Amino acid sequence: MTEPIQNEVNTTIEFNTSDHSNDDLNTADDERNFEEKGLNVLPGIVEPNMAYSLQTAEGDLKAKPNDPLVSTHNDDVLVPPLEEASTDRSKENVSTPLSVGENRTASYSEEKEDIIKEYHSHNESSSRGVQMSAESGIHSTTEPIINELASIDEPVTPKKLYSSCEDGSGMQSDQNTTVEVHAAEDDKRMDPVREVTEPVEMTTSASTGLSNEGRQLEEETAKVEDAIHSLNAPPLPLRSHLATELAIETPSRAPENEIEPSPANSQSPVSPTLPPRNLNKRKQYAVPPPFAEEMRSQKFRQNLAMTTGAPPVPPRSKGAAKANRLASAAEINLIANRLRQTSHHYQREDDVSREYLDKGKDMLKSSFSTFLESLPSTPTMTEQPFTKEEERGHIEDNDKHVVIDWEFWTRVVNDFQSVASEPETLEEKITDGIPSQIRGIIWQLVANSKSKEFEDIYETLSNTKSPHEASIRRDLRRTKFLPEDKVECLLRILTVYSIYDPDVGYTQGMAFIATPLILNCKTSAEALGLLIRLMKFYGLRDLFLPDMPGLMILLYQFDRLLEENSPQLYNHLARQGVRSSMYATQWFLTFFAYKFPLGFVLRIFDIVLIEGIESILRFAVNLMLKNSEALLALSFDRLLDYLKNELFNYYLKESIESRNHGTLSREGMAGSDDSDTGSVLKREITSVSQTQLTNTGSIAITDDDYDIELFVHEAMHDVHVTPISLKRYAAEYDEIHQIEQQKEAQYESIKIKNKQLQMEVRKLEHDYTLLNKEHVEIANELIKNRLKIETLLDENSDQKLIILELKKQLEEEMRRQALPNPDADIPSDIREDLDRTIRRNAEVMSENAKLQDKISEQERIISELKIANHGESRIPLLDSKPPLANSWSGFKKVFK
Amino acid sequence: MNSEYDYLFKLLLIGNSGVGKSCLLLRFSDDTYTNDYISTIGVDFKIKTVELDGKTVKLQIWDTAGQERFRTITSSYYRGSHGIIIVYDVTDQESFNGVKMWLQEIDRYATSTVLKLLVGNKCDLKEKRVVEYDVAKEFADANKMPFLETSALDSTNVEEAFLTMARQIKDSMAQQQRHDGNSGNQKDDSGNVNLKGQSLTGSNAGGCC
Repeated sequence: MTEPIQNEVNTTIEFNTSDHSNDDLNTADDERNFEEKGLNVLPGIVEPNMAYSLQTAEGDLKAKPNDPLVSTHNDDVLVPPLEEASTDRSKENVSTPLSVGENRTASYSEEKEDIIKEYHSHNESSSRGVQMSAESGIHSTTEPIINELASIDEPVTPKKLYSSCEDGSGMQSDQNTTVEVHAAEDDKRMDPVREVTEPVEMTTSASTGLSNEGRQLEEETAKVEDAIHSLNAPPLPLRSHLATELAIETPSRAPENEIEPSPANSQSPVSPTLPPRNLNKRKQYAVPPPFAEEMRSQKFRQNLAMTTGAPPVPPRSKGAAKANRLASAAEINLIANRLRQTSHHYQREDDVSREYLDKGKDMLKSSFSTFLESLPSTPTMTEQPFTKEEERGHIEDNDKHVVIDWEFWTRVVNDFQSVASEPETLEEKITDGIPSQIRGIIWQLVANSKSKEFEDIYETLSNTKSPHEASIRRDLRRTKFLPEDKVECLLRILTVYSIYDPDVGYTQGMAFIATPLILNCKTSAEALGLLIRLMKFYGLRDLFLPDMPGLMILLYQFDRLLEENSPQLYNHLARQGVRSSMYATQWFLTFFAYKFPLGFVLRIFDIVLIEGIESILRFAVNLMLKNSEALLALSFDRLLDYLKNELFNYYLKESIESRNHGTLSREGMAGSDDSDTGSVLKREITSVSQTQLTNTGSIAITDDDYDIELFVHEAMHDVHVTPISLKRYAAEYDEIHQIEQQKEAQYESIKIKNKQLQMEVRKLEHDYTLLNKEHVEIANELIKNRLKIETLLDENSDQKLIILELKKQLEEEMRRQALPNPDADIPSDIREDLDRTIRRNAEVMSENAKLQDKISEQERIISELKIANHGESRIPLLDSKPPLANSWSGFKKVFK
Repeated sequence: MNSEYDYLFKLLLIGNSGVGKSCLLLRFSDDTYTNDYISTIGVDFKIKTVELDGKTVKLQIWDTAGQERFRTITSSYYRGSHGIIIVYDVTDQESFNGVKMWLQEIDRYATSTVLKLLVGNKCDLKEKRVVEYDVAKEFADANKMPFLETSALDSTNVEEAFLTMARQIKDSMAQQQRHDGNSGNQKDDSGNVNLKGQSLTGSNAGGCC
């Protein structure tokens, strides 16, 4: 039982030393070493190193099961929520040793117990926030470890914890020490050596008499294990993917002692570097802390990175293992994320451009080495007189006498990939800043931007006209930091870019991005290459596209980060109606170049190029947090002004000093800031282009007046941003944006509808007036008609009266007519008379005719007589008349 | 806070890039001028309090980036504005042509009651002038907005421009109030005059019957 443990310890120690010798795995040639490393990688999200302490625990357990402390333990530790709280982690932890354990031939049941113990001890340590100073965990040499070990006088901790879990009985005087010791242990898990060495001692000394405790413990273990299994559901949905992953692993471990060593698992991944943890900062949670909170702890992020993507059967080759690790680290580490994307883009290039890129890289490397040679006292590779502490001390002391770790930067130049695989070291270095002499070289190497391709682009397009040229020209003089002789260069680069990427063309703000690039590149083509890389591969392009989608996402991410880091400030701003788009737009579109001094901007560029543009959020959020006190006291009007102009005054050396001494009240400072800031911008312009207005009487504020180091360090250390959470925010934004767009579309359509309806209303109104008029007319007519009717009725009645009268008259008439007529028989008399007369006339006529015949007879007789009496002829004629007259008189007589 | 001023007007400066919006605002708010003003990214903001007919009027003036693609950011400022000042450069025909586009933007994003003002900046550059006063005046009249030519450099008409805007808003607010006092149920819409007329005749007709 002791044997494997002993073995374990040795290997771990080896591992530990190799751990700090930068991935030099070959030094630890033992296969087991690999396993140990694998163990380190595989274990739980939270405590990957726990496996080591498991070993420790085992030893402890066997050693002193009857220790008086066993039954006496702190019940704090056992507060139910706590147990639950840590289940999530413990589950993950528990699963880990399994995979390692499988290939180990050591007895498995012991490990089991260890796991359980570890689980509890982890409960303990994670729930107790501040236990031991974190510094103790940082040292990597064996010496401090030994010291550490010497200080641990109570080795039975895990057992104690374990039993406390079982019986939950009261506290003891010893207990505090126990906790501390354990905390120390927990602490040291980062540095497994200490922990593992400890159990060695324990086991060797204790294993002798206590083996019969084993069975009992096993049973207990089984119980606890069941409990652990029952607590499978992760409290936070976010981690669900992790949970499922683990859930798969966990059951396989469940049946005790039955697991066969799996040969497949014999190759474990390369161990990641184990960063120091900062236990002092850890908070105590009754439930698992919010994911975001946890993400803030560097340790958690690293562990997460190593765990999430760790393949069950990691490839043996170093390169592949690294790639895998990178992939997983990319989830939570900006550097890794950036590196992955860069290499991804590189992979996708065709052979020709890859060749160009490689050539470009070589050129950069050679120019770096010529630069290195030109250094007066270049420290050679063998000569490394400074320890890290010393070196940093120098940097912080004075910017101008920084001792630059040329060896490190040479490594960066020669193999950035491998340097970037230790994100912590790299982050530390870039936080200190890239040496200004080699800044351009490093930028280009990191962004993989030096290529003949860009030179060709620059050459071919630099004489082409761009539709954006006018706007670019207009902005040339409206950009900061640009010396006169570089104006033409900026114009060229922006023009070429606007042709090269017509979708973006030119957006205000691009000039601010291009200027620092120009200042740090030897040729325009190099600057263009960097610009294109930034735009296309770093996603900067999204910020400058016509609808600025990238900017919107960044602003949203910024809001969320701010909300998370300082809900108070976030709420204050929201209540005052200040939106991030009002002030942060210019930060993001210009990488703070808009109002910030150049020194700040270059350092921001350092970080951005290595970590990606998301890191800009760090600076933004940090600035807000650092100024939150002042901001909280302001209302809208002043707030916006402050946000735009005075935020970086926080890093004025004066104000830092005054803050440190506490001599100046906040108000006083704000006041002095006031007078400064108005002119800061102008001074900036003066100091750079040296042609502008001079501010009378004021001493120019230069980069030196700002504590840039503090600015960068605080931003890097105080604000944690992980790709995974950013992704989440981006997804949230997308959702919100979609909803907004829908609303917008709805709004638009409603607006259109409204317009149509308005038109309709107007039309209807028009119709309505017409109808109204008509109606009035009709009504009037109606009235007229009514009047007419009235008069007609009157007339009618009149008529009726007349009719009546007439009727009366008529009746009278009728009555009168009805009376007998005296002249009634007259006519018949007349007719008879007439008839008689006609008849008589006829008689008379015929009589007359007879008489006429007689007359003519007589006339003839007379004429005969005349002829006879020739002389006496006249007289007979005259005599003949009276007979005629006589005849008529006779006729008349007849009629009478 | 509120006792500091009688009115708070929100103004918005729009217009093509480089016409001098920021300079105009800087001249008005701080009475200074600089040739090397850096281009506005996103939005900027100044506050100036003025006296108007014995009333204290606080002007909250938003200055926007002229480039069209900043619309994503600037468009949200249209809605809350009481007055919008469209600025063009008298030496730049294109910027004057752009006014039409800006009017459309107003139509699209601002409330229909928003008051407009057309300003032709850089009128000090007499020899470079390409947009004649009469042309612009005619255009402004056709679109029913006042028009002024200014120079941020020699501060011609700068104050007047902002005061014109402020007065316009104040008057329309007073009118609005009277309006609201008279007939409570009117909508805040241009159609309300019509509606009112209608409702009157309507009641007449109803009385008739």
